[in-house]
Amino acid sequence: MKQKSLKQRSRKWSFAEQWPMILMVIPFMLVFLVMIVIPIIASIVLSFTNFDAIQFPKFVGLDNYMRMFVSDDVFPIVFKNTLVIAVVVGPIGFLMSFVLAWFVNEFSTGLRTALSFMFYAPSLVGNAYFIWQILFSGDAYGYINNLLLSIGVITEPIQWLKEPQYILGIVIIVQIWQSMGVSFLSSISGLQNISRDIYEAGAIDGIRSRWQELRYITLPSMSNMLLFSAVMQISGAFSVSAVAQALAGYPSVEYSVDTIVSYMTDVGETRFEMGYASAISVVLLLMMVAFRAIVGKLLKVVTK
Amino acid sequence: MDIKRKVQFILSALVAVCIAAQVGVTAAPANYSEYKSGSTSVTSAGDDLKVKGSDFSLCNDSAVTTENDGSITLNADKTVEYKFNVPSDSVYNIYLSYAALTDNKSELNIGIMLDGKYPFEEAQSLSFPTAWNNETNDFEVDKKGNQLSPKQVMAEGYFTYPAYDDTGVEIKPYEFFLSAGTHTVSIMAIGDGVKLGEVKLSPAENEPSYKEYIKNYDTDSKIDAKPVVLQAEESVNKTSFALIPKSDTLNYAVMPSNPKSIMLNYMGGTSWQTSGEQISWTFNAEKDGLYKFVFHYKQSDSINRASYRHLMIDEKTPFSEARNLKFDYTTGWQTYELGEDDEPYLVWLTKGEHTLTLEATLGSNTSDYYKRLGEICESLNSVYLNIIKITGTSPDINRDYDLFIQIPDLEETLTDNRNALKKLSDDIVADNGGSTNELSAALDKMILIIDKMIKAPYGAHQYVSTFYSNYSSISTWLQDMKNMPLALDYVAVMPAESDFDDDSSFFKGIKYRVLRLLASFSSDYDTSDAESHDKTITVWTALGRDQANAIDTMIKQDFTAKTGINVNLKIVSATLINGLLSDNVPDVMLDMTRPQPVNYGVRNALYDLREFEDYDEVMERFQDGADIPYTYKGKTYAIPTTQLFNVMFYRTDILEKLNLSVPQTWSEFMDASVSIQRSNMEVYIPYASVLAASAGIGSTGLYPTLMLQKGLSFYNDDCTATAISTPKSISVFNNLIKMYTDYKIQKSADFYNRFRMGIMPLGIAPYSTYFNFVQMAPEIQGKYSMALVPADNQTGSRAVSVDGGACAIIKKTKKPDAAWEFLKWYTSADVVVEYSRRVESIQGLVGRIQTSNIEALNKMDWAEDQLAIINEQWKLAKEIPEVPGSYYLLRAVDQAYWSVINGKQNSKDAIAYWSASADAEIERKYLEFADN
Repeated sequence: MKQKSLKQRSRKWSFAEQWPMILMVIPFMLVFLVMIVIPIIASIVLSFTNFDAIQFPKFVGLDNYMRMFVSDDVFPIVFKNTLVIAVVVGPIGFLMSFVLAWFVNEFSTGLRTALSFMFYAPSLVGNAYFIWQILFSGDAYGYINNLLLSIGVITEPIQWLKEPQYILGIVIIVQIWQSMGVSFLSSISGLQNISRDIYEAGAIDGIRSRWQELRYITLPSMSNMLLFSAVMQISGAFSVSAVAQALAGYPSVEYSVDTIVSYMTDVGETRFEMGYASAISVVLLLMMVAFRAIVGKLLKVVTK
Repeated sequence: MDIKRKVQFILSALVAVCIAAQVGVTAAPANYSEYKSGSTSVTSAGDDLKVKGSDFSLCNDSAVTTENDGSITLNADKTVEYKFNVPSDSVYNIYLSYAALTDNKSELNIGIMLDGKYPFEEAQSLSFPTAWNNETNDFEVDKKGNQLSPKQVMAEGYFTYPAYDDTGVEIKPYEFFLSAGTHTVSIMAIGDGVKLGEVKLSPAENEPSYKEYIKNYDTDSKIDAKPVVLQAEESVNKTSFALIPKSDTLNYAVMPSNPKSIMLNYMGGTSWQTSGEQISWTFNAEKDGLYKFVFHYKQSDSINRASYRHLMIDEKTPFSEARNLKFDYTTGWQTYELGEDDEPYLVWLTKGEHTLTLEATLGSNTSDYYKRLGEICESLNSVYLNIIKITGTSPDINRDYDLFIQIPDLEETLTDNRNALKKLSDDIVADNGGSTNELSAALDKMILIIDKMIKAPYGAHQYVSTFYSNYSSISTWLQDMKNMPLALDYVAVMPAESDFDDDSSFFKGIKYRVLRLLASFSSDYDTSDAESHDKTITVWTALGRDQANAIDTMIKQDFTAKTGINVNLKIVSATLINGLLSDNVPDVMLDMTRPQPVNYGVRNALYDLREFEDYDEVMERFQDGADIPYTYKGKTYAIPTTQLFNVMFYRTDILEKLNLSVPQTWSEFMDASVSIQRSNMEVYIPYASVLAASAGIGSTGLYPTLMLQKGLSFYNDDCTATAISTPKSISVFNNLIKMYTDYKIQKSADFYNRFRMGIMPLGIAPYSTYFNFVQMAPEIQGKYSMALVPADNQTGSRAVSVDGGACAIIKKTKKPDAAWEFLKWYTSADVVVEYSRRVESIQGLVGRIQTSNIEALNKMDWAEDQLAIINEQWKLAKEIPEVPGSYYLLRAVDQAYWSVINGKQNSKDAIAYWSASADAEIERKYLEFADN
């Protein structure tokens, strides 16, 4: 019955009836157009030129894309790093934040608020990841080096942020620590939106364990919320660059934690190759769109 | 004591005889406290003994020039001698009336001998501050009604100041003991010449206590006089150019205040915290009578600790309490009536003009604490060095080092220090009204560690690093506890019985804040006065706020006044490229980093400065070759503003103990490193990983220096590729790597902290590190020195690489001539010196500009020997060219360095691999601009 009425309404679509809604959407659409759509189009156009930010761009065809995938030594490395970080940080951060929210949701209101604040704090305080720099300082008096030296695990200070085998791990940990906040917050609000009635009805209908409760009630009821936090988490993971640059410098040793975003900034701002930087940004955009589609599909399977 | 005593007796006019004689220096004298305790029985009595500058009894040829006004000019490093007839055994303070020969000296160094000998060690070099005034007390106002901070100018005429302890530990001027009879006093100008007006021996008196003082006056007599309010900012004879008028716009109670514009309304804060710094004010007393003093002050900088001031009226301390005026910690502005237990201290003033002087002082308590903590620190430092001699800085936790057996008296020393610390901490808390503060907390932590070490003698070595960090914390306090910051709004001088109407109320405060908030909507924070004016240029800077404000004030007062060109100075965090992309560019860009000018210039974004006729003339301000990094294909896109380079620092005390001489070559340096490491200490060589595009290759530490010393260049002759993979260059790189791998020099370390602790007694570091040592490490003063970097063993070259920034004109500007005028002004010596002073007045010595202007650097205030080293090293410094794509060289070297250090590749492969990537980038850029 409900579905039928929806269909009827959509069939009857007419400007006369819908104009107030269109009017209300226009301000946002204008902003969206100017701030998002036009830059993306400009980027796509520029990616076929040799724009250097100062002189007038010249059309160079697919040169930039050819260079990216054929002759550029660095791009494959940053591409790989970005994928690794996104694949690890995205899902792990997402899962951790969901599980955490699930646990925290069981506590009493006061404790829950306090805990929520604590988990969200790292995202609030922007540059707080600098504390990790002290922790992982290469100096013998850096916290971790000092600890390991004093309990005798190592005999010489380790250059944590200068040895490729450690840097990526450290950056991933810091990134997870920092990025969990938003998805945690959205998960917890999602959990609270589920009506108690549904659980009670479920109990009557034969749900026997917490697992079943989670599988058949909680997850399906908050599918939208989950999609939101997954998208936030993963798109966030794709655009990691500040943390990596602050901890490991740019370029990091052997480009071991440099990401597409940091490479793009470098190409554009330091090397003045805006055309090439635009091409890179287009590839990044495509990657993110593709990932979002995959995540959406996966979540549909999980929450059904 | 009679306060009215203003009449001075001239006792004797001495015969001036000039014969050539060298006043010899005899065996090393004792220090002041030994000198003083050796002769305390003598009391002081009698009158001042004064001698005019020109009435000297003895001097060398060419030592002095006599002036018409009875003063002399004593030339640098010369001595002049005066005779005094002392009527009876007595203790004297020595006052000099003097003036500096040039207006750039913040203090003069003078040695004083009695009868041809230095009475005590400190007398070999006493510091005499110069006096400074606001250029005008009628403050200039810009077009928006904001008052501009006035320029500081050296006071005219002679300034009188006693020989005193500039470390502040002795809170009274130095006392000199003279027996009855004829004595000679020799004055020696150290480093710089000085104009000497008068030498005065003034009996060192113990002022009466307030109770005794007030007995002489009738406290019941009433006078009818209006209160006089002395605005702190309208002061005279300040002993530091850093004491500039400031503005607190947040509080209506600070006079004068205006919610709409910036008013200069107070003095001091953290810029008035060093003992010996004086500020004076002159005022008129309407009638003879007793007056009291009310201060409106804020002391929020030194948390939970008090600041002390010494009050003088007409250069005399009225009573002993005036030496120890305590200004308690406050979070906001407060009034404080000078006095004790609600009873104001009254001072007798005669009708007429008087001078009120406030001097920062440690006060007797802090001075005592400082002495005690200094002794403890010295003892703990030697304990620490003894321990690490056995254990190293990171001891093996499972080993028993038998520290308490290996080091004799360790337990005793530790216990003594622990008890001394405990007593000190208790005294500080008691003095602070029973509440703890950060200082006492730091001491308590140290006590805790020492307790642990004593309780567990076999595990004591596991506390080595905690001991170190706590020691550094208390030794930092050793400096910080001497800070006596005080912000002063006004002093009210008024008759004893009148009440001061402190017209503050809660509602007035609210009203002011609301008005201020409203005004903030209409205020235009843009710094320019006239946007549409033809003669307005826009200048972008990435400077900090303090620096930008200083420059902005100077522009308005000096540049615009002289040239009529308005400057719109904007602090931007965006890089120039954002501006170029949006076609919103300034006319002038300050603080560009090394690689930027050439890389922007080849893209036609910057003006070629060689097109200006007087370009060559302007370049004479800088070292030869200072334009190399900003020049490409015969065009120069920027002129240097700063230059920073490495020198070698060493601890004289430790090298002496280890019997090492200062290394002159790299092989000597490495030998020294081995000897130093044998004593479980280390040497430091810098290596900096730099963020992309923020610096040139010259800033990466030792590698460029080693290359330059070998005479190698980083690029091939036509700058189309790097030259770091030639066999010679690779061997240089190998030598650098060997320092880390074979000699085990630390790859990263906090040099400043370890140098002051003595763990790294030798190191190469930027010369600016010196400012940190001077300002923040008092415990090592006199124990370290600077030297040239070691020379290459084969070529003997002592070249160093240079780091620094530049300023440029944007090509799109429509006013290149005005922009060029501005650049010339900005880099001229006087402007740089003034600018540096203004920043130093806020940030202290560490704010000093590392200028590229030779004259400016030499006009700043330096210790002579340090300046000589900096100048010598500066002349030997060499610049490295920048080419389009040069940022890749920096990366190539950094990547190669780490891949060798991490054991991934050998030097040759690493350099070959990474230099190829740099070559590719440079070639790409070369081809891109081949036809430009």
